[in-house]
Amino acid sequence: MKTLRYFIGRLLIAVTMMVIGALAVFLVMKAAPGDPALAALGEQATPDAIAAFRAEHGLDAPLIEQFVSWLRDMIGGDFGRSLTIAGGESISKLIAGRLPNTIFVGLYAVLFATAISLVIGSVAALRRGKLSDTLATSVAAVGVSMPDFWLGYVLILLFALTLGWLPSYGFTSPFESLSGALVTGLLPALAISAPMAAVFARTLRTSLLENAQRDYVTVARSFGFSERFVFRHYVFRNSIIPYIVIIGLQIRYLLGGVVVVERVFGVPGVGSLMVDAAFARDYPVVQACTIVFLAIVLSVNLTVDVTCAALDPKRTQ
Amino acid sequence: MSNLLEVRGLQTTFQLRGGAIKVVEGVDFDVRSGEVLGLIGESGSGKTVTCMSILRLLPEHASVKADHLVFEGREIATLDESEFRGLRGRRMAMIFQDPVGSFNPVKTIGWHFRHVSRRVSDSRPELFRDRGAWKREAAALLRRVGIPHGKDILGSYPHQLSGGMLQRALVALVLQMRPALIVADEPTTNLDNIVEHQIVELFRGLKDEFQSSFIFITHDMSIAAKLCDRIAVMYAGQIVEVGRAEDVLNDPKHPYSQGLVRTATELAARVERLQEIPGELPNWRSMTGGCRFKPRCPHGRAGCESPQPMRRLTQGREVRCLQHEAS
Amino acid sequence: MTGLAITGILLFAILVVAHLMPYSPTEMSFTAVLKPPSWEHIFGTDSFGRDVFTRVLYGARISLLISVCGVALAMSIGTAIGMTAAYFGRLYDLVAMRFMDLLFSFPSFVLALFLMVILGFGVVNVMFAIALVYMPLFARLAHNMTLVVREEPYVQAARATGQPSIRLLLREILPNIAAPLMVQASIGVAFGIIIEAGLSFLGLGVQPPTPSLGVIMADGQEYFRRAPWVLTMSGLAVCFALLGLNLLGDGLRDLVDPRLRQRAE
Repeated sequence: MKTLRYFIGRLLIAVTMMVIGALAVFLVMKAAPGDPALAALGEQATPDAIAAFRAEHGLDAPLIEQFVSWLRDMIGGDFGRSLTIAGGESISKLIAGRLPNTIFVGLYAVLFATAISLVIGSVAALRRGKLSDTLATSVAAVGVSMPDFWLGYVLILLFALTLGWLPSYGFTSPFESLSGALVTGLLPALAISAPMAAVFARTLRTSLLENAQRDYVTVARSFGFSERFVFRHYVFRNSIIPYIVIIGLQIRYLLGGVVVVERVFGVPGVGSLMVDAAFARDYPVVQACTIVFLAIVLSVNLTVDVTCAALDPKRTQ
Repeated sequence: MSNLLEVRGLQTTFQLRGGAIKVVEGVDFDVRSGEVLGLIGESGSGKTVTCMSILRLLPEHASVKADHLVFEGREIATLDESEFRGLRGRRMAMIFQDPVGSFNPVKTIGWHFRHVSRRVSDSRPELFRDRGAWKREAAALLRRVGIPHGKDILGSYPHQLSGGMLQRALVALVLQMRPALIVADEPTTNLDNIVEHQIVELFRGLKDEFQSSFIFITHDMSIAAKLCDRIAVMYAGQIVEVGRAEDVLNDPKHPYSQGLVRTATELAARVERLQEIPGELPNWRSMTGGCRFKPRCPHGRAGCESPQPMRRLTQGREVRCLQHEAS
Repeated sequence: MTGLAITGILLFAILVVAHLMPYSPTEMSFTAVLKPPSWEHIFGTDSFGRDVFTRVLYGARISLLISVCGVALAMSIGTAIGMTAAYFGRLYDLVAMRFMDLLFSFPSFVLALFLMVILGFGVVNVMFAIALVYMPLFARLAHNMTLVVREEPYVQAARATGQPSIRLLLREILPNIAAPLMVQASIGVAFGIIIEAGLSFLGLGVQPPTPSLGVIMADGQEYFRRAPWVLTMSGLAVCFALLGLNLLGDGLRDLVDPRLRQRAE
């Protein structure tokens, strides 16, 4: 029961942040230089055409009214219409088509990052001070220092152009073909995950080493529990919470990586949509994409929060 | 009365960045079956390290050597790790100083009991005769150590219990395994006086009821007086006096023991000004070969600079001091 | 300490070696177009025959400058907000920090991208974008540390003697929280470079002909299949810079942490 209350509390906070965030995005967008009407109709548009455009898109109503109606539409799932890049297409349709791809690649990347870091982090901690530890830590240090899109290209160079194992461009939606998505999504996910994995591995290693020094480990060994048992139930189990917290915190950077990597690999996701819209000054689309990303981050934070609360008896009891 | 544990020539060295330090040196003592041996000394004298050395619980940079380490008739110094692990918990166990940090914070007390019971499933098959057997045993033990609502406690997490309760739970946990030797490391230091008194009473009751032998580590002479059959006094990594409790307490032979007893008596008598033992523990690195207590000893004389062996005064009574030549 | 060495080499390279190079970053040579790395051209040449290595050296200068300015801005404003919020407390604290949290909830790159759309492209705007992305981190850090330091005896003492708040903040509190902030700053510069590179790479940040590292990489992307070295090598330079900065940050953190703990005891 207490977990539920905690969850609801956090949910409310997340929703409030969403609304305020949306408001902030909306206001900032409005304050931006550049008239959307001109951007849509071109420099040569007549004042009449501009006025008509304005009226049609509700751009002449008072600000609060605009925001409220926009918010209402958004909750109803309607993000408005694209101004320039897709000429009047419903933005929600655009985003809906692309969101699954972004989420797929994102999750794929998180999976990779978690798997890689669990292995590297544990190995480094268990063989502390020995060669494998130094090697692992160095790899992690280098991994953190790589821009993901650059890594993407290196991977392309290696696996696609040189070895020809994987495609260098394009993405198959998971709805069309799951195996296709897994294959085409492999390199993008790997590119994004590498710097993340490095951070996770380092956090895990530090956490494991810290917990291995704790008194309860000595006590556990004094009971005669095996090293494996102690590692699993004492050291690892107590290290998992900061590890998950870090994963949650890094989502922000991960999503940033997604945006650029989508461009590099031609993944039709929300990130590449945002980039295209940015070039074309399609403000509503940029706005909508930003909000969507905000929503993703907030939901991930919520999930991480609740997971940690569930795993840590001190929080819920 | 046979010896449960015989220690001869125990030496523990810590490898630190500045060099190696012999924290425990030349320690000899016995623990007889069914007795409580008090290990007395101030902080830093090596009491805890000695016991942890015997149980092989020290970190990697510590190396332990002994001429002779016999437990239950077996030489255990030469056992490899997996064989030794069979002894830990089941035959010899330790109750640590800080109860709060001794439990796994993400697991319930019951979880601890369950796994500890599994450790002894062969020597105590009654614990698994049916599904709830170990739980009932655990609850009964908890009641015995002074926690009435044993069953509820089993479902609680460590952070929900007070220090005193955790200390008792830890005692119950160790008792569940019925080890032959239990080391209790200052079980009352982190607790307030009322609880301390209760724990001392608890131990007094336990030593008769369960046939374990205890090594009771403390720096408090008055507690030792209440509980221990024999006492070994440690100073700066060496044992300086050994004997029956009443002998050591009423007639301490080593200047250090004399100082300790005097302080304890003064405290009990609420004397206005405590007569301190002047000076401090020697710096590990600057210790010379001679008597380690010499800088603080009022009776120092020529000859104290040479290494002092333990001198036997009577059967079971030994002192490491030049003043008492062997008889 | 390796970090210091690497960063040192890097700085040396971009400041000194750049001038010693026989090529200029903009000098075009149509006879030497898209040549792979060789002894003459360590990183090869690009589609205009420009020596990539020289371009990278100059580009690194620009990218570093942008990032450092952005982070400096983030640090000043962020620390100011965080410190004052923690010190004065109440409504201001609540509002300011909640706002910082909100800012922090946006994915960094997305926020930067959003800002570029609003403000327009160009070097200065990239700086502002980096500053806004980093501000919440400094604010949070400064805030949390000020909360701790605020209760320390020497702060209470200064307060009792009637020191005006601003002075107190600057004289007593700031020096004691400076160290972790510097650690964060060095890591921030590393990420700032990534953000700048990403933005410019997409064409939404620094605009050509200004040769920031991202711009060079964007350039290299166009003919990646034919001449992969431009992008690869310029990216490698970015990695090198980042490695140096990250290690520097780690080294600083190791220096700072135990001292911090000692102070707390």
